Amino acid sequence: MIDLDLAVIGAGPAGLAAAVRARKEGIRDIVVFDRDDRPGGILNQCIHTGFGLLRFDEDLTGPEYAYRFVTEVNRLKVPVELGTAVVELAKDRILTAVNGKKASKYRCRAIILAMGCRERTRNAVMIPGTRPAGIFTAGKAQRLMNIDGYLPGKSIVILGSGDIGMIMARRLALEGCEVKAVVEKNLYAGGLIRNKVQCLDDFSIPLLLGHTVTAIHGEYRVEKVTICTMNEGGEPDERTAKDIECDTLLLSVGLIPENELTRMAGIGMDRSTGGAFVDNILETETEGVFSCGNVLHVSDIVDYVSLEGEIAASGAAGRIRGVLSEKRYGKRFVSGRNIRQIVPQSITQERETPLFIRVQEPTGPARITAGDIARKRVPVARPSEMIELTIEKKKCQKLLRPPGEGTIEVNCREE
Amino acid sequence: MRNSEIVCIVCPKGCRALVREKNRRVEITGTECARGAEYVRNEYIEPMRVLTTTLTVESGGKRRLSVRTDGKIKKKLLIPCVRYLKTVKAVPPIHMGEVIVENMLDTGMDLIATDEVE
Repeated sequence: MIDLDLAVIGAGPAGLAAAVRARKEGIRDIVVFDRDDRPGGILNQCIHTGFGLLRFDEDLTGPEYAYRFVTEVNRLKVPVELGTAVVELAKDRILTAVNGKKASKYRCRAIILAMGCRERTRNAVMIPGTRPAGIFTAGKAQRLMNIDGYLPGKSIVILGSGDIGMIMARRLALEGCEVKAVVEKNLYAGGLIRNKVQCLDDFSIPLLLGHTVTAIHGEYRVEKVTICTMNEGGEPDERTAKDIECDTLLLSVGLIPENELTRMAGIGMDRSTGGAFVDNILETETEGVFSCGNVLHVSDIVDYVSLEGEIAASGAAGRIRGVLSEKRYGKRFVSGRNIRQIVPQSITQERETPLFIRVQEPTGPARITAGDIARKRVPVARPSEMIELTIEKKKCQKLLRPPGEGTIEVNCREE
Repeated sequence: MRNSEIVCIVCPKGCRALVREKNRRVEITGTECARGAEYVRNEYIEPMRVLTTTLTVESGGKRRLSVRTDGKIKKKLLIPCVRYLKTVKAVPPIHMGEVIVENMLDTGMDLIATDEVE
């Protein structure tokens, strides 16, 4: 058993930002674990731009954004154990890490969960048909192309208009593939508008809204897919079925926070985010265990992920130094009108708190409110675009004095 | 006279702008801010994009090197540039930000590495 002040699980954008901040706050004894053979996480395969606009006021690619944090981690001499998977997390902050040579147990004073998320697959959306080669998740295809140097196919249909799906449509079109269509079951694109314009419109790739793939055909390799329009009840209308010939189907049908370790440790989960239930220092309901980035809730921009890593690290540093008050219940946020999810889910500490909110349905101009402690007007609200609402420190103080439980309703009202 | 519709991407609102051109005068309607109008005007006259792609690596620890143009190039040159880059090999060691191709295809922009290879 090795004693450790802070374990960071995952060396992606959340984990790297957390490691840098924890070191800068004076924590000496830190180890970052990652199962990949290089740090940076998913950023390494995201070679397109659009990263760092908020944090650096620059339009960086994924590897460039990661490089800035990796450089800091190296300069601050924070050890990163690569090729090492954390396979077990016990209730008392004891974790087991395995690499090619050995398994080691660590007893940690604080743990930061930064494991990211993974893609939903064909199973998750239950597409009937045969099981030929040529079906990939969009992120897997991205890795094959950008890191390993393989083209997944030549004639492509993409199901789901999430950002990765649209970015892959452009990537494949640039490499000379024919992208026949992006098929989206909703009546609006799943990803950011700039991706719809610069990835699909730029290359005249049709976006078929209100459609879905209902069958995959082909014995050895994908030969065609059947698509249908969605009816008002949200079911595919078989009468509209038509086939599109293609050799490859990419799936961009959502991301799932990778919380196996979190569940193993018995940490309380929020069903709306698929991540842990956290307070405003991103501490889970288990004292000393923090969660940040895509493992907490899937973000649409990396800048927020890094910010969360830093908030979690400050919290963890506070726990390790013993300066934080005992873990208690504070005020909980509850979803009111047109709100799908809120992170963090509660306030227990007196500090400025960014709330990350996702709406249920798209609206025009709207007012977002958190009880009577914070409000903000937005020109539009879409489920695909996270809204940040900051609660000032003095409002948090007012809320927590005197201490006690209570709820704050968050609403999005169209104006 | 030419009419075209351009979706503004300056903010998440996504205004649909209508551009009318009459006697070489460009008229823009449908945007709600000055930044949007500016974006739509440029997008109408000459759309510009940053190109990101990967290159074959001659040897070393990686199979592909990610690269980008050091600024925006004309959108219509994206495909010609990618075709040209199929003939370019990256020779390690390569450092972050290193220029791989100077003034690529006379775009006025360099192609730079966005990763490292030892």
